[in-house]
Amino acid sequence: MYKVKSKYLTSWLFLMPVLFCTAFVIVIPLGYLFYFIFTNEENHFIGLQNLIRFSQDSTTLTSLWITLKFVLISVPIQLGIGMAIAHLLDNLSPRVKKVALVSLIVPMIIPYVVSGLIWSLLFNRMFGVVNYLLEFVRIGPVSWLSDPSVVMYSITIISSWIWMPFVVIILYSGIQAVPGQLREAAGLDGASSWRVFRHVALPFLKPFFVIAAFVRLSDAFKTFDEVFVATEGGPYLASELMSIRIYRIGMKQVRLHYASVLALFLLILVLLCSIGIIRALWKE
Amino acid sequence: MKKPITRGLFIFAASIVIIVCIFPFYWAIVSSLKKPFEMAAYPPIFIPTTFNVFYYLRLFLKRGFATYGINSIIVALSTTLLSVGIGSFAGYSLAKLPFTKTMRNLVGTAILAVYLVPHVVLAIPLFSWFRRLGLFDTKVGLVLTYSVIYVPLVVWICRGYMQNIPQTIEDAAIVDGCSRFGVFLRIVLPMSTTALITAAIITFIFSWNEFAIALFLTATENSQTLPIGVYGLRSHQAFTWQVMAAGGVVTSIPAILFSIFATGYLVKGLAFQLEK
Repeated sequence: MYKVKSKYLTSWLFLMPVLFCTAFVIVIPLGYLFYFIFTNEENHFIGLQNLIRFSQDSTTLTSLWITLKFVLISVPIQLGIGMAIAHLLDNLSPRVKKVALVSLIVPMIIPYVVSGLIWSLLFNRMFGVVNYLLEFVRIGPVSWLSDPSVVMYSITIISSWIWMPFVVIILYSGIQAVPGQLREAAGLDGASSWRVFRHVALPFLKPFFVIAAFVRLSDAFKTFDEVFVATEGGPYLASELMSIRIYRIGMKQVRLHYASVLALFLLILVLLCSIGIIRALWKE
Repeated sequence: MKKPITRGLFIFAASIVIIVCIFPFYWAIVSSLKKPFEMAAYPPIFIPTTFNVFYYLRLFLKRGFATYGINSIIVALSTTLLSVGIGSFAGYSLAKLPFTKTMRNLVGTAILAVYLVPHVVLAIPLFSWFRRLGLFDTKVGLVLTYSVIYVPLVVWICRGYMQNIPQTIEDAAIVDGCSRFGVFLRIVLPMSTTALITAAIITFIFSWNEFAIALFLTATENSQTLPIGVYGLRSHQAFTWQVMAAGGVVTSIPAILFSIFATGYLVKGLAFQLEK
């Protein structure tokens, strides 16, 4: 009887279910994506027409710009605040730290649609808590979700509220990785906690910071749920992120083939940002 | 040690962080229990005077949320079973079974890359593909999709954990005539319960919370899940804020359960490290 001799057979056999399902749900649809880009809605081959349309579609290009603005504002904010809170956590007593950690998990784990919903309540112009609090600092009622020039800040706030804990947790585990002796030594020498942080913890934090930055960067481009529920693209498309635009063109306007161009574009954008992550993980 | 004033400052800052993180959800709970005129009150009422469960009843009886809930439970459970089922095999394979170095890295990276695909991007062609297959607006379609999207997490967790299982134990079993499959089932899996449970919890919560894919792939209460229901509450003409808030609270239940129970478990792990 012929016996299959490859010593890798079992390895691949164990992988088969995952590979098979992935081929079914990911690979084939991605193939469809490429097919759609070069065809029109009647499935006739039209070459590069969709791509040309994309380059001339001012609304979509505006949406791209909105997405870039959103990402370039949100991610640094999340990284900065996350860093500050991670440092704060480091300086808390164990009991307070525990409460803080548990609270930090809440924004990340509540469904994003629910967060978007809750924040749209909080941002309500007349009855929202945010405007109520702003009254105390004499800032007039802000139309968070109905003023096109403000809505960008609103969605940044919502998204940052959800994701800042993620950065905190990554950076905090980084801080934990700093050898205790180094920190004690610096502390004993009379350095203030800020200087200890800067010169001792920071260098150790770099790889964690890089990971957090790249993950948040690629994730930010994918933002959809919370913004969609809160603004559905915002007053007059002011908060129309690429992902929302793809939904609008693909499902609302039922132009799946044209939407595929935007989809591929977004995919490439995200993959480019993720190269940093992949490189870091490849080394494992 | 630390000056009391610095300590006070830190605690103050920590309280701000804690309040900012928790308040929105607190607001959802409070809002869902308010009487009609309390919702639109200004200044906003922070502490509820009544516990009015009327809107929760409304949610389930009038808005068909019960169906959404059942769908969510079925889909999330099935996804977890499928994902952890096939993911543990893959994780073990990448952790312990023979591969050339580049192959192992390649497969590992390819699987991880699946997790990076934006859901909206995937949903566009998936919509067409599933319609062709008759999987549109079905729970099966959702389960299949969710499992594949989140299996990379399972694989990553299992792989990391299983790599630490001493090879000697497995080798002993193999010498005794056990097949690789047997080793996996009878030795590795029982030893990996921590990883499996972690992977299961994460997969359950992520698939429960999933919205974008469901938005594209569902159309009726045949397969629509709670997050879709929440969105529907928002855009429905006859909405009331209390019902919306109630919907939000109900949809967040797994997340909150996790926060209460599992973080205790997670925090113990962290606390152990802190004590070092």
